[in-house]
Amino acid sequence: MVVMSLEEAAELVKDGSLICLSGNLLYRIPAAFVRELARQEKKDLRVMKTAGGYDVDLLCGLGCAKEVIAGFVSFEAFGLAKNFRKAVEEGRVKYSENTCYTVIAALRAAAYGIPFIPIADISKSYFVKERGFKFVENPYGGGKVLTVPAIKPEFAIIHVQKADEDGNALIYGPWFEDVLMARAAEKIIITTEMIVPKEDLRRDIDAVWIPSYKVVAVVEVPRGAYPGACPPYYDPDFEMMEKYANLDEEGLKKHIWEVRP
Amino acid sequence: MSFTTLDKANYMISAMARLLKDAESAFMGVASFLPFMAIVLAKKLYNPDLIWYSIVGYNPNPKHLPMSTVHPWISKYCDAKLQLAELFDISARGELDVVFLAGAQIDQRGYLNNSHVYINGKRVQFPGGAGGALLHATARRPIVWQGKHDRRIFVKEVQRITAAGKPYRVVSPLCIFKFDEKAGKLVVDTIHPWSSYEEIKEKTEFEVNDAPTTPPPTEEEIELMNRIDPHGIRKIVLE
Repeated sequence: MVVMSLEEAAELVKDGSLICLSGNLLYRIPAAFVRELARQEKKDLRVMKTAGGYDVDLLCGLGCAKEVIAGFVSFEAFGLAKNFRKAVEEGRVKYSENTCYTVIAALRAAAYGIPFIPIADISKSYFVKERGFKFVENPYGGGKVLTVPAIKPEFAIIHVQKADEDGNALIYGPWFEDVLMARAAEKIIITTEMIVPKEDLRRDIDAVWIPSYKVVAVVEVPRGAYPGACPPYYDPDFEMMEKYANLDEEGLKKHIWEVRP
Repeated sequence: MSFTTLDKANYMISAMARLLKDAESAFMGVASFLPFMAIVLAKKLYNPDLIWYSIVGYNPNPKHLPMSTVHPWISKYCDAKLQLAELFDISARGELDVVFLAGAQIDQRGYLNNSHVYINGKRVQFPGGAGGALLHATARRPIVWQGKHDRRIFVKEVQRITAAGKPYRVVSPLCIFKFDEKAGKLVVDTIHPWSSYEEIKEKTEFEVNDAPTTPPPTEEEIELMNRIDPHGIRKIVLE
């Protein structure tokens, strides 16, 4: 049993850690956990995600992140992620830009236990050189093939609908990269809308794709994806996102204490 | 005749929907209100067999336009599960026909910059190109769209290449470009009725040509657009 409080779970993440966050944009993001990281004033985090929004912006705006490894960070209809943008423009955060496909490739290599992985040729994109992605000779013939090195996050932080007290976890709806990052990461932290008895989870076994063996913390956080969505329980809070999109650093500092957990 | 922002969005959506008449499949990503509407229109009016790959599942059948194009409820109307990573694999295998891509900067080669630019030595950060780098390079017919048209957006050469590929069409609020294979660059295909060759020339950094007028949306298309998006969310893109 690895059930603990949000505060205790966030304490597991040390300054400088490489963390990978669940969900996509406003969808099943570990928002409550991210707010707790900010309340604990973490520093130098390396944050990885294919498409981030609120979560990545908040960590950049409050000085918790030093690097973002992602393909996209924005708020869709609510405009650009202002705090992320400012932090990158001012050089406080390094945006290790990728395309979502290469973030996935890096996680796949880590998940498969191999040092790098061949990918489709996207070598005209500027970030291929900046990230140091290299061509290798295809040993089976047919020329050169572009590769991406593995990136193994220290923590996959995944918000789910249901988990048991050991951390076996179920996801309803799209997984995005969550099942993959659970395979790739050294350790998993699960935040869940509810902790349920094992019998209940077994009844839903077809949705339980995160086995508990690498889970180091399970935290029950109802509305833990807020202001994002966690279907089927709640939709995104678009009004809050509209407000959030205009917050500066002072506003963010208030926001993480006002929006609890 | 004067055109409202909504009229202009409708022209762009209708044009994109018609480009899907003979398409086998289409994908659109995040923050894609106009492509969302175009795909729904195409499926309802022109091409019921069009396969729609979405971020949240395979072949959704949504009833209206949500505030987020990855809104959870879209996944409730899907025919099958499809994880985002698999969508990229579909394109990498050459199985994706149309992809809708946006560009903060678009150049005459059809390359896109969604990364950053330097203006007077100062960095201006964009969100990143999401899946664009792979999709532009591997989908058969990328359709690029942009809600604004000026010389900072339609440039001779992008400052950073986020995504390289050959667009099938580029849909702007002033005109539609197509890719001229011989010249290896974009040429104007049609001009929207509220714009002109002169205006496009003024607002585009690369060389442009005169072209016929973009045909208007039909009554049927407009009626359907108003039904899917009664509050006019689609206007946001042009504002």
